[in-house]
Order: sequence, then C-alpha cells, then structure tokens
Amino acid sequence: MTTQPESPATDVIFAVDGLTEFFKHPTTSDMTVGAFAKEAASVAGAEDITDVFLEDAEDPLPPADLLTPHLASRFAPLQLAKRGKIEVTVEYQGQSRHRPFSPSVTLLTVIAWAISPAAFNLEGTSSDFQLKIDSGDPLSSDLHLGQVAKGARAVTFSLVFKQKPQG
Amino acid sequence: MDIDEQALQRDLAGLPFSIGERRGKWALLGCRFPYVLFFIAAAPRNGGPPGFLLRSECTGYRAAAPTSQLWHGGADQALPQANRPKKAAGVITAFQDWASPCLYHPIDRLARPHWPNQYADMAWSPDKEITFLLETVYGLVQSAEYVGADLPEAALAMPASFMAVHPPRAA
Repeated sequence: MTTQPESPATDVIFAVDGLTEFFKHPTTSDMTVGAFAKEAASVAGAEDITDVFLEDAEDPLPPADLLTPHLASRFAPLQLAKRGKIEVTVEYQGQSRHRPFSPSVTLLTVIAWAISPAAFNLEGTSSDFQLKIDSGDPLSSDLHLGQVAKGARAVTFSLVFKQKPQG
Repeated sequence: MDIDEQALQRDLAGLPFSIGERRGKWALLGCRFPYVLFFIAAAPRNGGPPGFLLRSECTGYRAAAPTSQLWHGGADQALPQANRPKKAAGVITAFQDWASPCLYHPIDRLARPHWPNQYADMAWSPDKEITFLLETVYGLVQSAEYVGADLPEAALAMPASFMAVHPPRAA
C-alpha cells in the first residue's frame, strides 16, 4: 500500500474580526478555504467566523476553493470575518460621511475614500491622514477594518491630519 | 542576554515586525545590541533613493525609548545633513541636526523632553514595540512632504561595525 506524502505546510498570516493582533497558521496545498477558516478561527479563539477575505477584497473567498492558489505573490494578511459588511462613518470638522466596506479593507483604503471627492474632497495624500476611534490613539493604517470594529457591524472614525512637530 | 535585549529580539521575531518586512516597509539588517540597524523604504521620488538606513540604540528597551539616527553605511557614521530626506524647503524637521545626535521627534528618547506636554500619541511608552518606531520613520519618508534626497549609493552599504557580526552570505 502506498501512502500519499504530506503536502508541505506554509504558514499563513491572518487577522480576525475584533482583534488587533495578527496570527499565523499553516496551510497545505490541499486545504480548502473553509477548512482553513475553521482551524484558524480556533487558533485565534474567535467565534462566529464564516468568511475568509483577501486584503481589500469586496467579497469573501468561496469556502470550497483551495486556499493556496488565492494567496497572492504580493504579501498581505488574510481577514477572517463574521458575515456582512461594516457600515463606516467618518467624521471630519463637524461633518460626516458614510459607506459600507468589507471587513478586510485596510484603514488606508478607508482614508483614501474619506479624502476623495466621493467623501470630504481634501488635499493631500492618504499618508497625510490618520483615523481615530473616540479619543483613542491614531490607528495604524495597515490594520483591517474588521480588526478595529470590535466585532460590530458599524464603526465611527474621526479623520485627523498627521501632526508634524516643529521646534 | 539581558532582559532589554531579550525583549527586542522577541519583538524582532514577532508577527508585526515580520508583516512590515513582508510588506516591504522595512528590513532588519543587523543587531549588535544595544545597536540595531534597519533599512526603511522611502516613497519613490524622481532621482530619490529606495530608502535609508536607520541605526537605533535600544538600551532599556521597552521601558526606555530607543534613540536613533539615519546612518551612512559606508562611512559607518550618522548620515550627513546634506544627504537626509528633504521637504520643499530644506531637510524634513525630524531629520534635522539638533542639540543631540538623534531624531528630532517626540518618539526619540533624547528629543522627547523638547515637547514635555505635547504629542503624547507620537511618543514612546513601555507598551509600544519596535514597529512603532519603524512605522513613524517610514511614515515620514512616505509622506507627501518628502520630496527625495541626495543619497550616495555608499550610504546604503553595510556598515563595518555590523559586518563583523553579520558577514555577507556567499552567493
């Protein structure tokens, strides 16, 4: 009787709705998206996880697909998420704008929308701005929306211009 | 290995640092504690460099903030002001020469006392890790304010003080 050699494992880095830390879990070439989601959610201690997104993707990966072919040549953490979009409100100088986003978009993507003509139409680039929640510290723009929404399906940010300390 | 070096090594091996490396934002070039050397990627500018070397001194990490300077690898000394990241008029403030040899920014251990009651969210605290420093410097050379630099190729060479510990790998 012959046995199939085990597929070599590759570590996949991922984030989970409601948690700002990142995790890693091995995948093999024969592992489906759904199987990875179940194992990885268990590693992170997360509940109600139904979807796996590529970073900045609008729609989750099909659960029956093999995961490995979806892993892009350009590195980015996956997002394990609960079902549904997240309604984002961004406040700036007393005004607010709203839009739904998928949980896997980076805060940099949210900023790019917020300063665009579709929202506040501001001068400068995304790297000149930051997002905050309530009176907290500015958030890293590499974080995924699902990580900072604390498991909720709506979040409100304040858009702030990055300060430049002078002498 | 003392606890500050252990803490730094743990953070350099952690996922946040690895994610930044894999995104191409920075790279660890060497560690000769308390000194650690990084490459920080800069935004592409016409005639500008791919990035800069940053040498950080990490005594007392994480309780104490690192203190850092942009570094000229070939000369193995602080990067001359003429080669530092520029804004429209002169060198970006955080990289200007100041009273102490450090970053002129609230994140730096030596510069922080210059703004004692301001910029708390930019300053180091013991719950931060090395990626907070790297994100700060990366943000400065990725900002719209950064217009480029006159950086010679030799400035990105591996410094002699790190070569002894980290010789180049054979091809």
